[in-house]
Amino acid sequence: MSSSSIGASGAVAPRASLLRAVTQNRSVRRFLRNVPALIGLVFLLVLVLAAVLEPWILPHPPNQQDLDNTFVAPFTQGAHLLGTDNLGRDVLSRIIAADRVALRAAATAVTVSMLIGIPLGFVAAMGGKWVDLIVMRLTDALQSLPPLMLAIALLGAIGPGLTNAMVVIGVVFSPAFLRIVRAAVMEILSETYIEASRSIGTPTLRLVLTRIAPNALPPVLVQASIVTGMALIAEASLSLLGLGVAPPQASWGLMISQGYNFLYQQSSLVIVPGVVLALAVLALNLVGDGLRDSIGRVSGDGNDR
Amino acid sequence: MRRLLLRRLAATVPVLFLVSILAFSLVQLVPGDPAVTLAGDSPTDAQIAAIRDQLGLNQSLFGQYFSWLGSVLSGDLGTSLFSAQPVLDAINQRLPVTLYLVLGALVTAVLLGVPLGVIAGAHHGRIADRIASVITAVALSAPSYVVGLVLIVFLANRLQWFPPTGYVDLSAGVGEWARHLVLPSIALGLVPAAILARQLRSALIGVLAQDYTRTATAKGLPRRTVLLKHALKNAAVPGVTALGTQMAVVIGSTVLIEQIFGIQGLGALAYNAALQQDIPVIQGVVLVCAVAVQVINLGVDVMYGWLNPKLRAA
Repeated sequence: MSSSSIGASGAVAPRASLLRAVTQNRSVRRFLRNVPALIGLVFLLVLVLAAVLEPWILPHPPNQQDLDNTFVAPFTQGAHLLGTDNLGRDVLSRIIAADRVALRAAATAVTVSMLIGIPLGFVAAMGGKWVDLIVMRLTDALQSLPPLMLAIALLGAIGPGLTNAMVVIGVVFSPAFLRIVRAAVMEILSETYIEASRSIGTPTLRLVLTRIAPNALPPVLVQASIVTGMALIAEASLSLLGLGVAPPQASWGLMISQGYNFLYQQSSLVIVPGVVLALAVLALNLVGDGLRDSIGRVSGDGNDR
Repeated sequence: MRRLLLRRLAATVPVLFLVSILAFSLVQLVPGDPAVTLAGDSPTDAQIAAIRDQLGLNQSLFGQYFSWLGSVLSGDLGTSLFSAQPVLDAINQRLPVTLYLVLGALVTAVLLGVPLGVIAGAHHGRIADRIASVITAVALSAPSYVVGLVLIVFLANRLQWFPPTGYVDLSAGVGEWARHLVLPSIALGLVPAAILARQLRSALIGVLAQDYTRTATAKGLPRRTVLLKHALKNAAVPGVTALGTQMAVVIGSTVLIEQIFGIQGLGALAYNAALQQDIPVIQGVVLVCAVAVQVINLGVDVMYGWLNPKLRAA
């Protein structure tokens, strides 16, 4: 959480002023003034809510076929708002079911990514010259391959499936966290307050947990929102290729690849899941940009703000 | 400059060495006994033994690696477990198509990204900048295959300007060849274009605030000259870096785009190999991609020297 102002005033104050402390935090205020970022945040909340409430809000069971009602165009039937696919399955229901799959998959991938990247980032920054050299060379090697090519190579070896795919995506994106944590920690380590804390005898672990980690958190948050967007695209890409989610389960990527067979007959079967996926990624990018602009000392323009 | 290049060339050696270990380890990642798994459904003992022999799984791990590396360095990437075609032949067959696609993406990125970035940077904070930032945000969020499918639906199917899928060789005529490459190149190049535009914009804003651009303006040079001759060349460095990274990403995206546009390139080769657990082919593609990325990085370094003479001495 936004550490500094809460730590100073909120720890002893009652709850109402904790809320005020959050809303008066400079970063939070800046973020709330950023209209595109707010729109992105609202859209993300809708996606999360839809995923959580999925069992109650589905208009139809996502795999229920209705062969008398195939290829219904979007916005023509009240019962099927976004139309039906080649098997008469309700597109809206499948979009919502796939939303749940996509968010869970992206969360898995980002968690794996952080579990690998963040500790190694600390190790590289604090473990001395040789450790740093070795970790960074390995990172260079991992990043010297096109991400999707690396993911496909690894999946080719360990075999397809959603869990495998998300672990692989987590590994592939972990350098993003590693590099950003390493840079942040190195910068923090050169600050005077770390020297001061060290000189009064703070043990290293305590120094990491209470002094360094909270200050390294903001760039990690920005990175997390951007990597989540990339993980969403990656899940859809791998499912589209048949290396991720297996049919009949719904996935935006799988819906796109199934709709591809009927591209000329009913192009909405491809365009609807494609647009939803793009909007989800756009929302994450807008939130990421907004976070960067509101907590970073340097804004996206390259001007100090 | 030559010293710089030699040093960068030397720096690729440890990276390629580590990638070779990664590619080699792919066999070890196969669950269970690799030879049994890779031999397919209900294999005979002879088939398993043949695969074990082909992949050199009888030797110690060290022995396996060095004999594998030895044959790789002598140009033998092994043979496919399925088609029995030498991996190097398969790659040589597919590589040109993918190279054309990556070049097409590069052309798209430059043609769209440079004007967008320059307009946004030169009109910093004004309406043109806002519009450009909306365009780049949307382009960054649309996955390449969604763009590709939308292009097929509208430009190929409805308007019939371009063929929807397929690829024809250069020998069939430059015109037909180019027409088949346009749509996949746009699909691949849109994200790099957006990233290039963003980098150029923020670098231009920084450069335009510097003294020497003010001097150039003060001595009466037209704004166009200041912008395009003085500012752009100096602002291009971060853009070139970003383009280099993006071209590496594009090599990966060809897997999807080749699938959608029905093109038999390196991406399709990697994809089919992954579906069939054809490890030698996967290893070959991984190695070729790693080399390609290093070549791109060297190209970026050469561009640096050309754009900014200060970096040549380094």
